[in-house]
Amino acid sequence: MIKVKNVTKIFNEGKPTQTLALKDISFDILEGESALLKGPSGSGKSTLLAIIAALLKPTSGDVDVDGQKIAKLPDNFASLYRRENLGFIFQKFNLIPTLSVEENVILPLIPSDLSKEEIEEKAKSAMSKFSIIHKKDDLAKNLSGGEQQRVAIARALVNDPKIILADEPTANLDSKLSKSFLEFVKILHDEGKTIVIATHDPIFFDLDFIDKEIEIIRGKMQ
Amino acid sequence: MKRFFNILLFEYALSSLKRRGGKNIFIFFIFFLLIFLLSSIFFIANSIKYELRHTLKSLPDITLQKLQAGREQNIDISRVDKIATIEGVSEVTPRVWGYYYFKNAGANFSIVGVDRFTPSYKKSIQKVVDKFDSTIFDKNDTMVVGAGVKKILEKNYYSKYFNFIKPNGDFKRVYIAGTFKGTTALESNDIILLSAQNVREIFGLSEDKATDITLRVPNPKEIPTVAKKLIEMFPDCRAITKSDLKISYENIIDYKSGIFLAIFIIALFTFFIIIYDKASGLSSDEKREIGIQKAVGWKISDILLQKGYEAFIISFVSFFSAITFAIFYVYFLDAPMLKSIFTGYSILKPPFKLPFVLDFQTIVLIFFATVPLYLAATIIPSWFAATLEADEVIR
Repeated sequence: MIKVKNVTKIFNEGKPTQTLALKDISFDILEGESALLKGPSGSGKSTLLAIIAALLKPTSGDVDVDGQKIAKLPDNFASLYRRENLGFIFQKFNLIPTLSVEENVILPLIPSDLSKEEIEEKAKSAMSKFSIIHKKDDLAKNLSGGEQQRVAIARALVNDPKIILADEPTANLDSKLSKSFLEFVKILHDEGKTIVIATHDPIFFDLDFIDKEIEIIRGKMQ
Repeated sequence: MKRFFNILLFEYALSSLKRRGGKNIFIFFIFFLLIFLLSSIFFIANSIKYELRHTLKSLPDITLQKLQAGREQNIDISRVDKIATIEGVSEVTPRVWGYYYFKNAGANFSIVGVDRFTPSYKKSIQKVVDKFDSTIFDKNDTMVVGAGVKKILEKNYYSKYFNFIKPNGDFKRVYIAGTFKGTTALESNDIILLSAQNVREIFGLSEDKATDITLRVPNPKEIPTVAKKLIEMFPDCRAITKSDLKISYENIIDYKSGIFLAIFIIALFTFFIIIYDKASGLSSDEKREIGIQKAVGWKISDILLQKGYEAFIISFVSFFSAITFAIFYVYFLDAPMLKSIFTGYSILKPPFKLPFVLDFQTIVLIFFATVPLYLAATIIPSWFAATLEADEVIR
């Protein structure tokens, strides 16, 4: 369960460029639920997602994930939290362009205690699930947008996380690929994963497998 | 163990080095060149120092030379008895020796006259004399040569004997009765031992003359006093003490090391440019990669370990290959080019091979002066990037 309590984020606090990104945001997402953070560009959705992923620390407020307070986690514990609980699908995929598909997919598992065989098995299974195994030796920079997204999803899921966060996942995809992404989300929802998607793409609105929609405009919950 | 060595992280570090191949090959090359130059210079210097140390050890405490118009002249043997009366002098030996230029080989040999009844001033030569049948040095037509001299003679078709040309133009045939390997390579490559009588004949030296006179003074504190007394006794002579010779040898080496200091500074300067380049920050691609690694769950320590592996691979591979290459270059190839800067004056002499003197202290010194510096220059900027919020780096 994800509990967001009175989260406020101010960038460049105390400087002339100070920006209020989020103000007093609170909501709960239950285990296995799919939630949509919607709102126009620049409303603070990605910032909120980064705070839930412990990639960013809130200025005030707290985030509780399965009883663990993650808002002020020290850096190393934040990394462990992400490795053990989260799969993050970034808007620009954030693949390492000079690595192969397989090398990108296994990236979260490299520092783990798993053996090489176990890691390869997990990567193979994730790549098969998202139909990218035939490109496993290709460099990420040589893939199409849709293929890159499938690699990003496979990487996010390779460590079998309980929670999946997706930041504008269809922003760089055409409508056909966006629809196929929806299929992936539905599969993950059916598998009981907790999913949080930050998007302003109407394709996600009013879908039957989306349990909760949270609207944010100019950093405030509507 | 797993904490410090993770095979997957190591493989990732290898792939990372490969991905930035051009840059890393450049760093490897500069690092290799620096360590190769440094170690070669130190190896050559160590070898030459070893030669000098042994040469100095065997030098007489005082050498008395007669001068006329500032040039060395042969000295009367009759002076030996007078010198022996000076207190503190334990041994006085008239020496008969000189340089013989062998034109065909372009080499200078040191011809040393030995007398089996008079102990040699030089322990190493005495050892050689003791090793051989003493009658060799009694005969009129036999000699013992250094192993290097033998090689030079053989190359010029003198495998059994050598024809010396006397001052009057006549030949003197002397047969090679044996060869020896000296304590130092210089000795082996330079010296020919003959009876004093033979040397006199080859150089046209009369019976009452010697090239110079050497003295042994057991108490080192008495050497300056004895030298002073000698000059008072024989105003036409100069007394060269062991410490005078040591200073002049050291001056030669210091001058040579000055040249190398300049080369070394240039190499070090290049090295620091690389270090500065690395320390001044990572490229945006490298920073972004670190951000992605953190975002997918890598801890700061994982990132630093990977960067540490990368720096370790580059610096260790360059270090060990440079050291190996330097050993091969100095001791097997005999340091072409570099050696001649150190031993320029001895080109006229028969060439000598640098003795194998591997000083681990020097290797450890070079290691600690370079490798940790490079490791730090790689890890510190990575640590700065890894401690930034990942979101800031990948957005």
